[in-house]
Amino acid sequence: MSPSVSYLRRPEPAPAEAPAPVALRLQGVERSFGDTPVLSNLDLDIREGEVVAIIGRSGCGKSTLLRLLAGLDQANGGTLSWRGAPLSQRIREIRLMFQEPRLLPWKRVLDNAALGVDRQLARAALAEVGLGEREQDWPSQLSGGQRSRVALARALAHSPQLLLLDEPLGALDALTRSSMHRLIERLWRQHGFTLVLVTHDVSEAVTLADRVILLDHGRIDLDLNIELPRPRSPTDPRLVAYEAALLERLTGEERDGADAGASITSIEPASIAI
Amino acid sequence: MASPPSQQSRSLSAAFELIVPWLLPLLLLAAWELAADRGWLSARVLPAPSAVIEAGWRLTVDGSLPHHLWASTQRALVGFAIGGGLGLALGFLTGLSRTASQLLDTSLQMIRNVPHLALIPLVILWFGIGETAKIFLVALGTLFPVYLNTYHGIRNVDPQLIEMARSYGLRGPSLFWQVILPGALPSILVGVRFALGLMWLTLIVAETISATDGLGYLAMDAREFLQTDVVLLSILLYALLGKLADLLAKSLEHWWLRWHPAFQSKRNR
Ligand SMILES: Nc1ncnc2c1ncn2[C@@H]1O[C@H](COP(=O)(O)OP(=O)(O)OP(=O)(O)O)[C@@H](O)[C@H]1O
Ligand SMILES: [Mg+2]
Repeated sequence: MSPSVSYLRRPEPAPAEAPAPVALRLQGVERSFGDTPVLSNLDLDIREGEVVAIIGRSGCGKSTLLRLLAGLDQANGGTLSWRGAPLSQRIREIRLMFQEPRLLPWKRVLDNAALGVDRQLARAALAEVGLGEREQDWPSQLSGGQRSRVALARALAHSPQLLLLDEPLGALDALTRSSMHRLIERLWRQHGFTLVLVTHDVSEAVTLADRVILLDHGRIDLDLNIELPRPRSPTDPRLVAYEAALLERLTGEERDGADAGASITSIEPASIAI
Repeated sequence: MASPPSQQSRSLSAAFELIVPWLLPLLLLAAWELAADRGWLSARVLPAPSAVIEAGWRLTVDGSLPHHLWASTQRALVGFAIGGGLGLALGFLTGLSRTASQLLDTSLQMIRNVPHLALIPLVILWFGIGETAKIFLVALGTLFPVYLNTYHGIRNVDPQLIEMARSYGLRGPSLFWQVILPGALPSILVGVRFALGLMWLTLIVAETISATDGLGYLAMDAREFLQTDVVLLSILLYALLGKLADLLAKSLEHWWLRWHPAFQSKRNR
């Protein structure tokens, strides 16, 4: 439980350290529904073990992108590769946690977490998310936050190398969200998976991610490194500054189109530190 | 007395809840017995309940009632097994395969709209008046409710759950057993309960028309000899058997759907 142990296992990379190899590579990815292009000519590299948050206005194609990454949908063009192979060949290493928990109501918590894997693995995963005690309950007996954690345990039980989260905390209250943030960060430190997280919540993005990607009209509008040490405090002024800048960029887009807020394509944390 | 509801008063109210549904039938029975006893009702029209019970005892002792009961139950079960099994299989087929549903569903819906009892003359022409005719009718009567509810149950399984299960590596049989079948089960069981009702209805009609044993035959035979008590007895037995079948289906529901919030008793929580 203690985060200090995980610090030892996964030290903060020093700036001079060689960057981790690229694990996920998207080149010229296109996806359209009928005549409406949703993703157009998307290029994106994500490094091994990186946490990337994808934000953007509703309907900008975040879920579409994540479904492509999870192999639930096929691109109309371009290539997606994971660890050097076409993504579809190594789909077992990738797990998506949906926006809704999508638990099977007719299976007890343990059997839900054990979907497609051994019960022993599911039991361990449930213990990791703090629901070891509830393994014999029905999903209908759980709270919303507990259901999300079961869904997270179900994904973890498969030991994914790439974990995709689609607004997993959208329906939760602020307090539960922040404890889920800590849980997700801890699990990431312990397991070392690559994490791609879609969210509506800018503060969630800057709290969790190494990189925030702003998607707009199917293109990457901004790719911002969040260079802050972990664990991050939501009241850290640098974090607040990142958040304000991203929010301005998001709302600026709404006001005057894509070129507003272009001045903040990169933010020097040092320059905004108080 | 002003204390909060105790264990005792709670079990009392539970007992009360158990008794209430039976109050009205018992009251009617008492009134009926009284009316027959006083001669307000002619025994030809409606013999006293005690007379019906007596008739039941008489026929049990001479062995004819068990014989007829068994004959009817056998037909009901065989007919239901064939009709329900076929309905289930067809429902799975059309529910799971788009080709099968395009090929079969329209035809099945057309046949369904013919009241199966209207086929009796044809069935007698085909099978005569033997066992086959009666079993055929029961099978036909139970097939459609099971078929329709299985088909709709499978079609209405939450596609998000199926997508999730697929993305977690479930395929073919394991997807069917773990996701599709349990998702369709509530609907299938509704179909089974409908079918059980139709099973007895069909059997009564079939046995009344042509049979040499069974409850329907017992009633028709008694009518010829003006034994109103025996006629009543067989009608009551039909009611009882129908209730029994329904209870059985209900307890199956309670067991299989115990995950369903609607079936979770307070004890279970
Ligand atoms: N199966 C589909 N068929 C047709 N259009 C679709 C389909 N899925 C998504 N779209 C369209 O693609 C666009 C992007 O959808 P997507 O679900 O990716 O948005 P999103 O960024 O996840 O939005 P939100 O933040 O509201 O979840 C939307 O305009 C949507 O209407
Ligand atoms: Mg979405």
